Amino acid sequence: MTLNNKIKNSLLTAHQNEELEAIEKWKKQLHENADELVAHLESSKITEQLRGYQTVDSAAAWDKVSSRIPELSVPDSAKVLRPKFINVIWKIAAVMILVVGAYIGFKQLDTTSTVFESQLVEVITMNDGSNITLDEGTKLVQLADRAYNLEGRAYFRVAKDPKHPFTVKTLHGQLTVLGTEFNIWTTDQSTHVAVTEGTVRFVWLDKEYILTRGDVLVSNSKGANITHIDKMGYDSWKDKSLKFKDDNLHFVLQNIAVFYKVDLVFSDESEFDSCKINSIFREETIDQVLKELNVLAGLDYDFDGQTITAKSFNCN
Amino acid sequence: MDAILFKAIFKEHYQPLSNMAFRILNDFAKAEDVVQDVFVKVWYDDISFDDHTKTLGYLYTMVKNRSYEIIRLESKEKNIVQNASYINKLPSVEIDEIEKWSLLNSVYAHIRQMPPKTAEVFTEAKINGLSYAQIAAKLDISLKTVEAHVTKAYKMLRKDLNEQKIKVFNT
Repeated sequence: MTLNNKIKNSLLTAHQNEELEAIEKWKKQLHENADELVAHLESSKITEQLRGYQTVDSAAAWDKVSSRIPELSVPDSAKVLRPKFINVIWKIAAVMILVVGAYIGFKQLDTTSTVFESQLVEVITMNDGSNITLDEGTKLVQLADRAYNLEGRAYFRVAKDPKHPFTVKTLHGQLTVLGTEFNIWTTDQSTHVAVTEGTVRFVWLDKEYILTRGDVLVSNSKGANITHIDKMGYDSWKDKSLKFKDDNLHFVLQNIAVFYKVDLVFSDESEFDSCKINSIFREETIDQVLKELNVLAGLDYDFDGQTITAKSFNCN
Repeated sequence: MDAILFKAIFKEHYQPLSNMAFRILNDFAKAEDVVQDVFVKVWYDDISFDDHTKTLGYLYTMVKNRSYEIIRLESKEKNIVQNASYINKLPSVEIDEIEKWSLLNSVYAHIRQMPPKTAEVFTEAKINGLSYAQIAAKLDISLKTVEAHVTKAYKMLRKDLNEQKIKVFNT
């Protein structure tokens, strides 16, 4: 191992140690927090809000809810995922892949791999607690417990597990992390990685790169390049999608206010209205959304950047 | 949203959500209907956020709003004048409140695991708001005994919450 690589490896270990220290510190704080919580209970009257508290039959309730949602009656082991679960089809796909020849870098996949394909922005939680947000039209293949292939765009929030490195393979390089947050997107010609938190080790063409917060790596058939950006705007795509179906305007506005983190005021004591809004708002700013509502529901409003004031509306 | 995540959220929050709705609606059957409806809607509308607390906030907000909506519609029918304090400002549920309901839910569960007399004294003192003297009279025990039970209850709560929190963290 070269000296550079030795240094990089020890840096990674130092980071590991930092992370482990941070976890110990947080555990200790939680310990103190529980004491604080009880002290708070003792000195306040919060527990009086337990008056009338009852145990409800959550199991019976779950039966009722899952009887209204067919997909939930499938056993967990089948790993049903909205919108698509492809497993059997993989055999055919594997043949196609060999024929097309575009996936030379990938391992031969066996039929027990799980494939996730997203049509909309979709968040998946894995068994290890990691959280992956897939953009539209992204394909994620799970090879093993913390090992994936990615084509498309995804934001990863990896659960810390120093004993089990988490890997993601792309056409132009593979990355390994212990527990961190990062954005990857791939095209046929390149892979981009932007790190939000933690440390990422990226390997491509026999070279190893260590990335930390704010680093962006771009790799293509020739090699890889790292730059640094100050503002992590790379992951703004994952949140910007709101869907409404036959919803009234009050409901829509309340959702928008929560989503864009603004305040909402109705300037008259309007009742819940009889509008029917059917729209999907994707990748839009709040100004664009409000303007659309003006068109859809005749919404007359003021917005000063922090507060929406809904003045009147007119649905017919 | 992932089906497994959906079920996990349901299991953890169905009870506190139902009790929160109950405080507004005063009717458990209605409260549970509201919560179940909201969960079904969240599933079909594909609501989920990368930030888990945002998802929970959304859930609690919807349950609260729907509960108020029902009250308003019902009181309109009965021609009752409403206290309009909540109408103009969006009642969105902050993380503090979600944590409060989760905490209350935990406390409730832990009380039921306490020895009966301790649980009884604690309930009378800290939930029903009786004074120690009143409790002593009601249960025919000494004041000192009442105090001892309350202290013991808090000690048990502290221990349980400590363990619970750290267990949650490790998953």
